[in-house]
Amino acid sequence: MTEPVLATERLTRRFGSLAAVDEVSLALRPGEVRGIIGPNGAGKSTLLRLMAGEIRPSAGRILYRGQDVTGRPMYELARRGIVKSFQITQVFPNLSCLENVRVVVQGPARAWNFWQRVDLDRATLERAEALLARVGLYGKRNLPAYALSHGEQRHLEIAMALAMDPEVLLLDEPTAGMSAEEIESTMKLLQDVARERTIVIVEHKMPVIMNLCQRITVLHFGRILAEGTPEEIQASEEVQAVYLGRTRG
Amino acid sequence: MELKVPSELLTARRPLQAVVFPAALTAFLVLLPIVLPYEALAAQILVYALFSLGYNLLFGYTGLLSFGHAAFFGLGSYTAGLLARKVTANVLWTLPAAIGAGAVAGAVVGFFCLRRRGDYFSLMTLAFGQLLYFIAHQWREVTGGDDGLRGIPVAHLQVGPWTFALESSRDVYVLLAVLTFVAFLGFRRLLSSPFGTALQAIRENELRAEAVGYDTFRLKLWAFVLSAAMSSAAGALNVYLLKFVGLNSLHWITSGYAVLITILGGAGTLLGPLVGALAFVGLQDILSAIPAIVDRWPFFVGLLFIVCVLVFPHGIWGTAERLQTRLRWRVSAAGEMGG
Repeated sequence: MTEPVLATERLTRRFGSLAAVDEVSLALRPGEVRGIIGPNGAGKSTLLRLMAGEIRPSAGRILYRGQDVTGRPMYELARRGIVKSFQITQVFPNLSCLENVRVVVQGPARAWNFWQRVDLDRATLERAEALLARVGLYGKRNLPAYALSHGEQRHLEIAMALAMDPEVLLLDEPTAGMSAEEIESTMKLLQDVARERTIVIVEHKMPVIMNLCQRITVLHFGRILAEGTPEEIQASEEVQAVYLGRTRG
Repeated sequence: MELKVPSELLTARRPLQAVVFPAALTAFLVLLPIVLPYEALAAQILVYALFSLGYNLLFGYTGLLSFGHAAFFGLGSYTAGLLARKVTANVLWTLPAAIGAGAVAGAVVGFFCLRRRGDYFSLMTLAFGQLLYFIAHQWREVTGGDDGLRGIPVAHLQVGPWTFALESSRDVYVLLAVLTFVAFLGFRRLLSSPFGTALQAIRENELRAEAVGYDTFRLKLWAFVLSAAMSSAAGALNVYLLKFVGLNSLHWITSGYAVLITILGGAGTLLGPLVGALAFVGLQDILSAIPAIVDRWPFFVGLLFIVCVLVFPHGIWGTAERLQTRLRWRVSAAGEMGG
């Protein structure tokens, strides 16, 4: 059994008296694609935010490559290899697509360089352009991000996440609000990305989850209800009862 | 077909521009005192241009609206003024001292204010600004209270055995012009550096900047420190010009000038502060010279400000820049159709 790349131990986050995430223990193997599903308010997004360091847990631990990273800020986890993409599209609207990606490629570690001209840095430019080509936005690289369609903005976000070269990619509803064609192309892109990285996806669309994920974790009221392969989850009556809101009988 | 705009055309500046910008800036700085009726006016414009240049780094490029930048402007003035009275009037000492004082104050004020975001940040900067104002108001023995700091000797530049006294407004203007040239070229460079682009990313979307690994608090703090240091430098330069420090240099209205000038010229544009200062100080001068207006000039400046914001929503220079970009796109599109 290989050591998990990212693991949570009894991870808990309370908002007032509500435990949005309640003692969740997960272990992600390197290269795994993990889906997280559950009804609205099950704590999926909160769990992802905790794993990315966007918010701090009330209790429990997060281990990355065996090291305790609980409570570390998001920017530090991002630099170490855990990168999150958001449920609501988050790009730099008034910068061009190229600038959006370039500001990531140039590297936050170099942010204390006050003098060098990034616009003249060939290697940075070429890498940013290659990433845009990969998500199909090369032709629009000089357009400001606000001028892109919703689906294109989500692809731009994926390019920005990939620019970090993350080991673990946390995706919060990557296909939210997309058209059928955009979902199709996003799935192709994610399948391609999944070959090299560990991915955690929170998603409502079952075909996306069933297609991409090797394992699925079902959350309900902040707790893990079930975990298994897509087939096992599909077959589970308990999951069906809770997730599909059906009461049997 | 692939959209044929080579990325170098838009992202990297063409070699010609490396010469055009400094040349145009030099021409402007040489012509300004010749065109204007008197040199002190030209010098005053540059003081406010430098003040707003510092302010614009924080407001226009990092997206942080400070209402307390008079604190740094005034601190620079008092530092230069007090040093000149008690120790030395050598610019080579007083100017770095003012910049250092501004940087340290900026680090302290920024450290606290940046704990809060949005309106709360703005109000905290206002509170810190007022704090300094009332300290200067009460501490009469040192600051002269509301009489201001008087009897400041003429500033001079002393290098080894050579001494140049900055007696006339023209002398001060020459110093200001050289510093303005250096500051604007330096800022232009800074804005395309990894640091400068990171600040713009924070302005655009702070959460996103953090998610891609930027320590946004530290970056914002550095922007605050640089901005404060620049404002302090402007404050010191104002003392060389006026040979007097008024308590109003710390007043929130002075903070308001930085906001007005930056918005008037174009927040988030390099030359916005220069154009804004020219328009603002120029207008003030013209209006206050009209006998029927005299002390009612702020009313008319306010009125014109409203008109300007309505006509130029991105500021005078910001709107001009947008038109220019649109024109260039049209020209390049037409060129492609022809070729």
